[in-house]
Amino acid sequence: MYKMDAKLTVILAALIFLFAGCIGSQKQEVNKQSDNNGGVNGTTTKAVLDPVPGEESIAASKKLVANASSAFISGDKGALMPYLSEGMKETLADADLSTPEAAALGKALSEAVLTEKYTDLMVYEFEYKGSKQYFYTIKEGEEWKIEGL
Amino acid sequence: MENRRTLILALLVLFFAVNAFAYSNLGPHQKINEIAIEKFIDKIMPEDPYLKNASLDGVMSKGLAWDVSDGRTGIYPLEYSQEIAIDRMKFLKDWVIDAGFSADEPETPMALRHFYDPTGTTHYLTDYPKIWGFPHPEDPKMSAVDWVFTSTENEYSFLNGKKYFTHALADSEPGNINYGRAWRSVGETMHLISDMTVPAHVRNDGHIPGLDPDIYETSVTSSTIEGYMDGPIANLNYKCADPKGTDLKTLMEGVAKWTNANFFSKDTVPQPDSDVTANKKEKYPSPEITGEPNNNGYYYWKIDNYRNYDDPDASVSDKMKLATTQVTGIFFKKTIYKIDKKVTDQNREMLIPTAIRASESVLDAFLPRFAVKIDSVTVDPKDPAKKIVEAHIEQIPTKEWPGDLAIGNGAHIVVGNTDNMMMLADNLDNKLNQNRIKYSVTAKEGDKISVYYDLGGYKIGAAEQKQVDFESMILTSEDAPPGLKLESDGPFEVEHSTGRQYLTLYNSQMNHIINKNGYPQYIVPGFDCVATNTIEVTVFYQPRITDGMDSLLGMKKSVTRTPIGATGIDGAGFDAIYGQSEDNGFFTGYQAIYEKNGWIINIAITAASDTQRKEAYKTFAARCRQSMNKDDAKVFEDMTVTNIDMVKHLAKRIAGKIP
Repeated sequence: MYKMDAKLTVILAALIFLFAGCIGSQKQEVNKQSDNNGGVNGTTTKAVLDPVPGEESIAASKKLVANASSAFISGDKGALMPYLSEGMKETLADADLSTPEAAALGKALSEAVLTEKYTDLMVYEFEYKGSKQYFYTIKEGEEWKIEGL
Repeated sequence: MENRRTLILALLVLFFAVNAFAYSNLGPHQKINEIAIEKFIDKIMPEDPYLKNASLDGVMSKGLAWDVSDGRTGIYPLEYSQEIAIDRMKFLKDWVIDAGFSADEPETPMALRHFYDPTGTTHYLTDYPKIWGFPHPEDPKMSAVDWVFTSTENEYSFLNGKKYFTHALADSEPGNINYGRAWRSVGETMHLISDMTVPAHVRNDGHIPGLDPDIYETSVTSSTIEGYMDGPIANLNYKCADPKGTDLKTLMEGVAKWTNANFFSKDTVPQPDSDVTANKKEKYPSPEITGEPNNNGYYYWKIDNYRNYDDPDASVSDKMKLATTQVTGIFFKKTIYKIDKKVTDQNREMLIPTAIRASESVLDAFLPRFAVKIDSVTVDPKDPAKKIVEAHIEQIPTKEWPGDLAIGNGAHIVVGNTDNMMMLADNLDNKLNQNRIKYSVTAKEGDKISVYYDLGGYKIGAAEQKQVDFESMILTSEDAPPGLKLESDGPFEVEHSTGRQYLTLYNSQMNHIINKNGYPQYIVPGFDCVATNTIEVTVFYQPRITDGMDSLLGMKKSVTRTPIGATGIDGAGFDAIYGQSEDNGFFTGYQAIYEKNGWIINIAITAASDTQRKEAYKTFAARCRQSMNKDDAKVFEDMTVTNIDMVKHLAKRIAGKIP
């Protein structure tokens, strides 16, 4: 326990150092500097709008859906839980996945199509019991999780 | 354990640094501001009596910027907002558009101040993401409405924007730094009022993109804004300029109430048999999920002004998708409501246009109304090549600007194609402000003069131009002497390059007699009917040249001029009158020069001499009597007008037109 706390303290110190370093260096760079580029012909330099997710994010999201699909099919709730958002975890905490419905849902999820891609959110469409359904993968920290299923 | 808690806290502070906002400030907010400006220009300005002569494409102004190209500043505290400021020159539109980004910088403190729950007693954000379980360390307890309208901490609040603009106007420096600050305040206020169309922001639903993103706002891009920009809008009063109308704060609260009452956010969807929602807060009274879902599995909700063109079911033609159910409800044999892509897609049809329209109202409320009027244009007595232009800018009271703004910069006088920016120090009227201006500018005859004020890019022009020439003085049909007519009813062209107008007067009665029966009845041998019937008139309109009168008149040394006296044209107000007549017994060249208000009017006529005309009229009258045409004979006998009478008459008419 002591070792763990000491380790955390070191990490914390490193983070605080990093955090402070960021502010310090940024301050020097941006403090009320005049900007020649920004004033060219009176127009500011516009950054690229609407950031898009990278290929890695898209692949990670798709892999998540595939894994969740497998977990549903196998009825393995323990395997499924890490793929769910915090909200979905609460919703499915008491769910019994060892049912034919869960397997059918898993099968339908395996056919889900990624329709919209954003940096923190992907929209999937699939067909279940004859109607179109939609769910999301959202980014919780560095990991993608299923939401709204 | 304490260390662990501290670490978690530190990590959360860092995590929260990741743009925890409504519509992303990287694209959507700037796009909303951009479209709002364009719509404001296209639709609101032309309809407004005091904006129809205005534009938003004036000069650049200084200011302090923090733009997309400067990067995001998520982790910095509120105090750092004064540090992330780069001196820039930008056009008004750019200031406003870029403020869609800067309103969220620095990100962490701004994220906590962009929420407003209209239903509770506590309007600020109290719902922190469930993965935290405790409030953010800063917890400003500041609602978006307070942040915009009452906070003293918000450097770019609407309140401060008005202060900046007041200072910017009073300053003698055109495009000064307070203009940029003011426009940035306008853009940041647009951002905040747009946030009121994000359900999560008015339903106390905290979220963090990258940790717990809101599905509505995360899926709105600048392309989405463009795609949904023209839909129906919330049924609210958007007119915030009318002194008797609503104010912007009321509109912002109204937008929030409307969004709160008609749309769900992800974590505030009510669940059956529960009084709390996913974020463990008490459910809102509206909207409500009632009855059974439609055949497509969706529940609907009626919203004023909305027409549903997506769903073929006529029973939902005025309703919008409100919610649907989670498929995972099958595991519990119960219904779990949610919003999905189809719901948020339809929600956008009204939320985005309402955000844009409300943003237009920010500009509408912020722009003071002015009327610019040119009072006079006269010749500069000190320099004949210059004109004295007097004008003033009058403030029209609005809700936010009841009056008394002092203007120290921005006056422009345009002469022809030359735009003269007038500095306060040169104002001949006073040196305190430019609310009333008097400047001497170089101008020649024919130059059109206009006046406008460019107030940091907000340009207000005079509705009328004035012309430094004789356009307003030229003779028309109404100016003909009695018994005579002008050759046509106009329009009458003048030679601006020489200041000269040519006219022909003729005796219409004589013309009538000559052509009465299709052939000349009363041709009198020995008289040239054309010569006796017409009077060629040339009028010169020239500015006074103080020291060059004699050279202008030209004929002073070569001809005998006969002063005909001011009494000759009583009431005309001429300063000096000279006349010169040369009668060869048959034709007369007659010239008279008049002076008034810095103008020289030189009228020259070429006509039959008075003697000749009198003789002709007498002869015509006799011929009429021989033909037993007593009426026509009487007309000719009564014709006693002389050349000098005609000149005086024309001069008097012109004198009445001299500005």
